[in-house]
Amino acid sequence: MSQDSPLAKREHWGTRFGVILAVMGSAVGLGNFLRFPGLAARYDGGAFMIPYFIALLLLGLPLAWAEWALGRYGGRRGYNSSPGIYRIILKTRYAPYFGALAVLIPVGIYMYYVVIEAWCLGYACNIAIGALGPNQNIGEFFANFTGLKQDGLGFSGDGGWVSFFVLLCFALNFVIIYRGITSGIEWFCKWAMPALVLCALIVLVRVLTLGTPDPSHPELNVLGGLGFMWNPRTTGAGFWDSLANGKMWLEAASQIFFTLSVGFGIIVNYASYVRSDDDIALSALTSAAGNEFCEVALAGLIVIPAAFMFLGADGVLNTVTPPDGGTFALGFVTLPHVFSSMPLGQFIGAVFFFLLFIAALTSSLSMLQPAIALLEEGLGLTRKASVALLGFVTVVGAGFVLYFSKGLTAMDTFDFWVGTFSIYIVATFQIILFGWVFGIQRARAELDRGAEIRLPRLILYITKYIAPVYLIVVFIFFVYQEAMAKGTGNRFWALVHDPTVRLSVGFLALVLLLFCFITAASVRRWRRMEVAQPDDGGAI
Amino acid sequence: MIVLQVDYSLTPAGWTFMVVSLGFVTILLVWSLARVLRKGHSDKLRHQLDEELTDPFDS
Repeated sequence: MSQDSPLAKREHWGTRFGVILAVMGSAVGLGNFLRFPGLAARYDGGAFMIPYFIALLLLGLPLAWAEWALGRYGGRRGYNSSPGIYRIILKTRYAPYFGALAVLIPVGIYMYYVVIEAWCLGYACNIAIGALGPNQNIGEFFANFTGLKQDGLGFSGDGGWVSFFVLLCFALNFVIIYRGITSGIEWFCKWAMPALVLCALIVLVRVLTLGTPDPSHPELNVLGGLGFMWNPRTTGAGFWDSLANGKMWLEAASQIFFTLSVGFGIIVNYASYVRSDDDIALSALTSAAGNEFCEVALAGLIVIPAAFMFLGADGVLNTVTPPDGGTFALGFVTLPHVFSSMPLGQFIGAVFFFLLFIAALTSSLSMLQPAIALLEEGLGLTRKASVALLGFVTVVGAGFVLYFSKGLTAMDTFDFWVGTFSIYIVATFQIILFGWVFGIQRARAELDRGAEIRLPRLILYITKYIAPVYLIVVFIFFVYQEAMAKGTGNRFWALVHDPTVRLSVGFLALVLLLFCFITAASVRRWRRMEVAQPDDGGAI
Repeated sequence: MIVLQVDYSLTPAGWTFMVVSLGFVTILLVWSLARVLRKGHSDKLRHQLDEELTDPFDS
């Protein structure tokens, strides 16, 4: 085997539990602890869980199994990057360029996610030292810390040290990623995930033992908070009216889709480092189950019940309902206020934001590895050179997001075009690739290889027929909804009229172009290697 | 948004949704972890499966 071959320098996960924790860490993020509770509260709590679990079974798990299978299949043939893996399955000259998009997605998301990660760390530190407490105007703190009202605030002294926290998070991410798959990502996730669950349990015990925090409002108690979160009818609509709400089904499907990190190009990459005879069917299920446990069992009992006990139903609904409310309003304005009002709130608030920081860090780490894999196996760069090159690109991107902070426009634009729109495209491509090109027979053989559970054949038919249709319908509704939005809320309108949005999309297009060039160079290199060593990377 | 319900205490339906949702994800996680950790059994099953399922697409 040639030393130049991708097969010659393969990395593997050290243990099976390690890869499960790493994938779980990648999936568990801010969406679990902030977006899910917000959606559940908006859509009648318990009623929301019906479309949520249906989407998990028909869309989330099939997509996860597909990604794990594609990843290990590619890894067995010496490829860890999406361009390489897509190329050996779909033998057209265009397939690797979908892979370039699958590399752009995690890198583009990393550029703004690391900034949010820095907010979490900044909030944890500020709450811990008492700089963000009951006497502070939390809305003003958020605006200053994030530069909400003025571009470039994060680079000035008024930004509340946000640049320092961003640099710290950058350093942490790149030190861990530089150490590699086993000594870096796996080692970190092995202690970070238990720490995350421990932090969540500490906050959970505090929330569930609050009783009735304000005796003058006896209705605002723990059972009321749980009822607000889980009763199937909390807003004006009846249960069946709620279920007939198409938007709720759409939001539930997208929540499942994003919470499992499918379509991000990350699971494909992580699964490619699994040994060829290791189980993937059970590992994928365990990772998804761990993610769901954090989301439903931990976040579902913490965030909304806590907010309800201090703000009441109207306060919570205002916080979680756009345009004034949303994930950021809930997480970075409302919850600090809630923690500052509860006994032991300073400690609990710091623990909660540290929990969010760990969740964000384990996710952001996973966003770097797909690009590192492409640079290493595509251009033949060393890990040091790959990390340096990716570091440069992501520093520029994160700096861009940090600078254009007014109204969080750059972050929002990155999130929409890379963190949502492109993900739908890649996920649709992947599920069609898996069900229709890879084929059901080969999919079954791949999923059963080394498997400790046999997946029902029905799953494969769901993957081939139902999941792609489900995904495409959700995507069409999503685009329709965005296209019909009024004024500045319309992303397509903003693309034409808002200079910051145009600049942000232009920047992302440049990064995509860069990854397309790298992919083109990689394909040329792989072809040369296949001609020279037909039994290596070309073992298709 | 108009909020009609004033008393938000957990109703029987709310308890049901909460217990079923939490129970489902917790049991799924515990069952999956138990299977992952049952190494002896799984190795045996894996060996059987490998004998049955040689990948015809691996060449």
